[in-house]
Amino acid sequence: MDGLDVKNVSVRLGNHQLLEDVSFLAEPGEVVAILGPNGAGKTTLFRVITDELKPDSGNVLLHGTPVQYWAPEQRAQVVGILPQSSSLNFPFTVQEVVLLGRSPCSTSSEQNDQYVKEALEKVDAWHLQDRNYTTLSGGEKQRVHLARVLVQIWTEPEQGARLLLLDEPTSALDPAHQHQTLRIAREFARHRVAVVVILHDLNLASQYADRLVLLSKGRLQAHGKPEKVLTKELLKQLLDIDVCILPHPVNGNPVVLAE
Amino acid sequence: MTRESRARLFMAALAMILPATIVLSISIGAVPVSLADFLQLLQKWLGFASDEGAGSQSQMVIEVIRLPRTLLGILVGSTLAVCGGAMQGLFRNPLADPSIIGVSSGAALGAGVGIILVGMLPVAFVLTLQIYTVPFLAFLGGFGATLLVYKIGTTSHGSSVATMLLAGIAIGALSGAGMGILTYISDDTMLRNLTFWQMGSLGGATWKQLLVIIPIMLGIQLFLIAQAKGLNALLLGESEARHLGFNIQNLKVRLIILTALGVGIAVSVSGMIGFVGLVVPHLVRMTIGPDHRYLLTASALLGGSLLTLADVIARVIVTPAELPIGIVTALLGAPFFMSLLWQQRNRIG
Repeated sequence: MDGLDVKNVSVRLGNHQLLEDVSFLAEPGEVVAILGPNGAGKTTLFRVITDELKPDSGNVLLHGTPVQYWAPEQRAQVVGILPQSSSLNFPFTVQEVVLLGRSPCSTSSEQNDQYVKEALEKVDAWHLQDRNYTTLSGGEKQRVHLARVLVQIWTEPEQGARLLLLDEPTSALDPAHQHQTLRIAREFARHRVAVVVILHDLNLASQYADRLVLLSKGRLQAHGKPEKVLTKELLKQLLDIDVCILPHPVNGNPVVLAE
Repeated sequence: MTRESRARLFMAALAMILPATIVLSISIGAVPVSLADFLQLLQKWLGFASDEGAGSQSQMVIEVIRLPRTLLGILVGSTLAVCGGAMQGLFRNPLADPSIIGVSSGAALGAGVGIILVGMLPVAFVLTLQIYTVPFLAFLGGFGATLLVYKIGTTSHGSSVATMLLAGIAIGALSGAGMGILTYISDDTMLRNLTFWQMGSLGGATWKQLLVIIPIMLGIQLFLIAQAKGLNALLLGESEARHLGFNIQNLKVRLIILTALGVGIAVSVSGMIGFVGLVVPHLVRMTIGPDHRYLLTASALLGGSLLTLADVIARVIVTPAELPIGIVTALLGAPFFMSLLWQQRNRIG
C-alpha cells in the first residue's frame, strides 16, 4: 500500500518496555496526530519510523518496503522530517539553512532558490532571509526548519507519495503561527502527502487531524477520528485530566476544556 | 552582494596573495636575494636563459633552501587549515582543532618514536629512512589517537562531542608521558633533534621530501574539499544529515582517516605547529560564512599564506638565528583562541 504502515512495533531498552505492539497507518492525503503524556513513547515511535532506532519486533513500511531497506538518498526525496529542536550553531543565513533542505534533490540552483523563497513565504519568514540563523528566536528557528523540511519534499518525486513527519512543530510558536503550521500540514495533505504530527495541544489535534493516535505507557490506547478519541472517560483515564467536551460551534469538531 | 559572490571574490583575492607571499618568503632572509635574481632563476627554469650568470650564490640559496622551505610552509599551512575546518564541521564545534582532540599529540608521539628509532640506526640509513619512517609513525599515532577518541566518544546512538573532547585531553596527557619517556632515554643528539622538532620548524625542507608529500597532501585536501556538502548537512545535526540522505557513518570515517593522515604528515615534517587549524577557518568563516564548499578552499589558500608569513617572521625576528615557527604561531594563535573563548563565555553566559 501507499503511505506509512507501522506494524506491531515493540521496543525494549533494558527493563523498560518503551513501545509495545504499536500499529497504525498514515495514507497520502491525511493528517494523523500522535498524542500522549510525557514518556508515553511518542519520540521513540518517531525514531523507529525515521529508522534511527531498530525495533525489537515489528516493522515500519514505507510504500510497502521496510524503511531500513530504502537507499538513504532515495528516502530523503520522499520523507521530510522536522525534529523537535536543532543543534545548529554555525552562522548560516536563514536562506542557506533552508537551501540545505534541497541537498537530496538534483534541481537547478535557480529552481532551488525559487522553492526556498516560496517555502519561507509560506512559514512567514521571508523577511528573515538574510538574517544570521544563530541570532533568531526559538519560534523563528522552528519556522525556518519547517521551511527547510518543506523544500526537501516540495514536489512529488517519482519514488511515490511523500511523507511529512513533524515532532512537536508548534512547541515554540505563538498561537497564530501554531495554526499556520498546521494549516500548512493540511495543505500538504491535500497534495497527496501523508502527514504524521506529534502534538500536545488536544484542540489543535482535534481541529486539524483526520485521525488521532493516543499513546500511553508505550501502548496504543485509542485510535480513530477526533470525536471517538477525545472523550471525557478516555482523557481522564489516559492523560489524568478532568475535561468537558463541547462541539466546535463552526465545524463541529470536539473542543476540550479543562473542568 | 550575495554571500556566494563575496566568497568567490574572497577566494580570488587569496589566490593572488599566495604568490605574493611566496616571492616575499624567497627574498627575505639572512642572505639577501633580489627580485632580479629570482626572475633570472625563473627564466632559467623555463629554459629561456643559460646556466651561467651572476648571482649564482643567491640562486643556490633560492633553489636549495628558500623555495623548498616556502613550498613546505604552504603545504603544511594549507593542510592544517583544511583539516581544522573539516574537524570543526565533524564535531559541529567551531573551537575543535586537531591539537584539541589529541590528534596532533598522538601524531607527535608517533613521530617522536620515529626520530629516536632512526637516531639509533647507523648514519648511512638515517637520511633515506627518516623521510618515510617518521611520517608513517606519525600517521599511525594520529590515526590511533583519532580512533581511540572516536571509540570512546561514540555509541550506537551517535557520538558525543563532550566525551570526545575529554578523551582528547586524556590522549594528550598520555602522549605527553610517552614524549617524556623518549626524552629520558635519548642521547644528546636525539634530544636536540626532538626538542627542536617539537617546537616546530620548516627548516628541514628538502626536495626529496617534498616530492613524496606534495601529491599526498594535495590529495588529502582535495578529498576533504569533496566532502563539503556532507559537512554542511552535518552541521544541522547527525540525524538531520541522515534525513537529508547522507551516509553519515561513511562520511565520519572518511573525515577521521583523512584528517589523521593530513595532521600526521604535517606534524612529522614540521613538528608541532599549533592553532593554524583553529585560526584560519575562523577568519574565513567570519568573512564568507560557514558554507564548506567555500570555507575549505579558502582555508587552504589562507592557511598556506599565513604559515609562510609566520615563517618569514620566525626567520627575521632574531637574525641571524631563527625562532621555531611553532612558537610564532602559538604567540599569535593562543591569544586568538582565548578571545574566542571569551566571546563564547559571554554568549553562553
